[in-house]
Amino acid sequence: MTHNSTNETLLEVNDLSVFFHMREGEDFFAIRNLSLSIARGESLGVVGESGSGKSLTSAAIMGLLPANAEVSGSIRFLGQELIGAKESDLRELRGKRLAVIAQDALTALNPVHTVGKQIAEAISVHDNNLSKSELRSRAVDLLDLVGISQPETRVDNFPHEFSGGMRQRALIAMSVANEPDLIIADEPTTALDVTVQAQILDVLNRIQDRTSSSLLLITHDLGVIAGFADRVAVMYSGDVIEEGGVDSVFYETAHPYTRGLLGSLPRLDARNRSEPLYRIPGFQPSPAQRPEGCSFHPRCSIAVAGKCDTEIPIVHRAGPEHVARCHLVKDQEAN
Amino acid sequence: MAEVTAVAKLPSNGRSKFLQRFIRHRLALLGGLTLLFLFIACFGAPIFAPFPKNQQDLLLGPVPPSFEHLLGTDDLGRDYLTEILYAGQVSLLLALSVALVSTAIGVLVGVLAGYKGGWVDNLFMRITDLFLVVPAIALLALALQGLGRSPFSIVLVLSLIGWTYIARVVRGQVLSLREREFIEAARVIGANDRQIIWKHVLPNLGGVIAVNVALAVASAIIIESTLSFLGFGVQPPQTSWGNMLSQASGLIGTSKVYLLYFPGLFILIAVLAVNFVGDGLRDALDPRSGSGSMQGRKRK
Repeated sequence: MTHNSTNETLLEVNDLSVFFHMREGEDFFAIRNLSLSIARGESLGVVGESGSGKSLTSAAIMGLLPANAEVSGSIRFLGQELIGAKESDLRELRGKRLAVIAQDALTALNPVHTVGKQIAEAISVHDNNLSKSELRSRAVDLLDLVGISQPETRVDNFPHEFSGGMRQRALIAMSVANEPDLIIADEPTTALDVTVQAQILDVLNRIQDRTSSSLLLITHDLGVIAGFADRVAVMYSGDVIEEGGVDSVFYETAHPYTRGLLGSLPRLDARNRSEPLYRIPGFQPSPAQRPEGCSFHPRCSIAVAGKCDTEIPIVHRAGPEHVARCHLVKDQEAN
Repeated sequence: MAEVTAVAKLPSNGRSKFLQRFIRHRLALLGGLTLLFLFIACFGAPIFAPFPKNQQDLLLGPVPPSFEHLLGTDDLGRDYLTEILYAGQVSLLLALSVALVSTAIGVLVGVLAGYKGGWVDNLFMRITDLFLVVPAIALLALALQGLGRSPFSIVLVLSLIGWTYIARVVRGQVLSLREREFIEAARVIGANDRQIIWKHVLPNLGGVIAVNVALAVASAIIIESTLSFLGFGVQPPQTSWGNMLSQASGLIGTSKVYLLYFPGLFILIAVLAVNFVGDGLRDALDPRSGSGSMQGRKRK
């Protein structure tokens, strides 16, 4: 599922850490030395449990972290460093080059404005030379693009007159209004049922083909990643622990956590129905109380005492364009 | 797909929907019409009043309501309906100005405090508390003593006292609005603080603001009347409903007590009407209520 992806790096995140200052309790790292990169036109899936730092990563890229967060490392987008950039420069990027499709379509639309007006706002914030009728017709076109029928009528509806799937489409329309270079879709389908989910993914796919934008797809649905992304990054406790092409991560899984995730998927072809679903024992640690060494070792069935519980693993190469942060992965020659 | 069939061919014009909802609210409509009637009658007094302003008929003296003088006459033989209509100009204008000015101040303070948070919030809210703890009537009396009792200074002083309530309500609303996801979404599309406040925060406060303006008109009429009654408000020869009450205050138990009733009745009607309008506005300005909702559509 490679869209017209090139080798040009669009976004490069290096050694990103997000540190929270708490008024009560201990300060902690919510994201620790995270690195990611996305090429132009590429789709990168990010998976992980709730609380693994997926959404925080997207907030860090947008420069919209909470006030008590301290961020370090580097985020380069189109060659521009985003960490420490001026707020006005970031505002210029947001919505124009960098777009986010919000997690919850039910609340991300303002109830007092019509959908059309909100889509128009996404355009006029960056270009206020357009007339009202031009903006309106752009909004109609965008609603049509995301597959809303009778867009000329629908453009004047309020969000509460839209169904859940339609609101999500409207949000997609808002986010792609300025043909951004990178779309961050933060669990765009979690609130929707499966058929609508497929339609939404289809819309995203079409838009990506049309505009050759890159996509950072945040989800906890491995199925969505398998069908949609070119590469996948698996996050655990604020860190990317495995990253690579979808096929090689899914079929030549290197990290025991990823193996556990894949193993815990329910399977239709499982013969023995009475056998309980596999689950990874234990829980993801709270970022305030990460264990020593590899943060996954207390739950890992193959952890090596004296190594995994003391040393933080470095990134090992598990294959061409496939890396994992695990002591037990043997480095492969890149060929 | 349900979403395809749900397209209804209804006028989607926001303004006409607002009117529909407002009209459906019977009491609000009644209040609105009453208020409109009062305004036309008072400000059209030169045309509608049965007698010219201040026309005295000393030989007639005070007479109870009759066909010639619907609300009777006062001690100087002036037609009381005419007097009340002219006094209404002052009362209504003062009340409206006070409501608008105090709401504007309150919304400004509330939005800034709620949206900015931190020390701005603390500073503004402590100032608000300061205004709240001072006994209003005493402060008003003192301030008006110092500033003179022109209508302008009355508006100024009443507004400076009246903004605290709306400021607190607005701040509370903004605190919760600020965390709503559509504000974050606006930030994500690159909107700056000014755009977010104008396009996303203020429109969501529309109901609160409208209701507050209405309630503030009502309370301003009452406070102005109170002050005038106590002698600190509008000064004779200028008249307002309040100082008409005050001038008639000694008449309880006499045959001229109607001079006390009628200004009081007008105050009562105006305040009630304004309150009903406020209620109707609140319901009509919420796009999710009334005929704007899906249930409303099905009923049609």
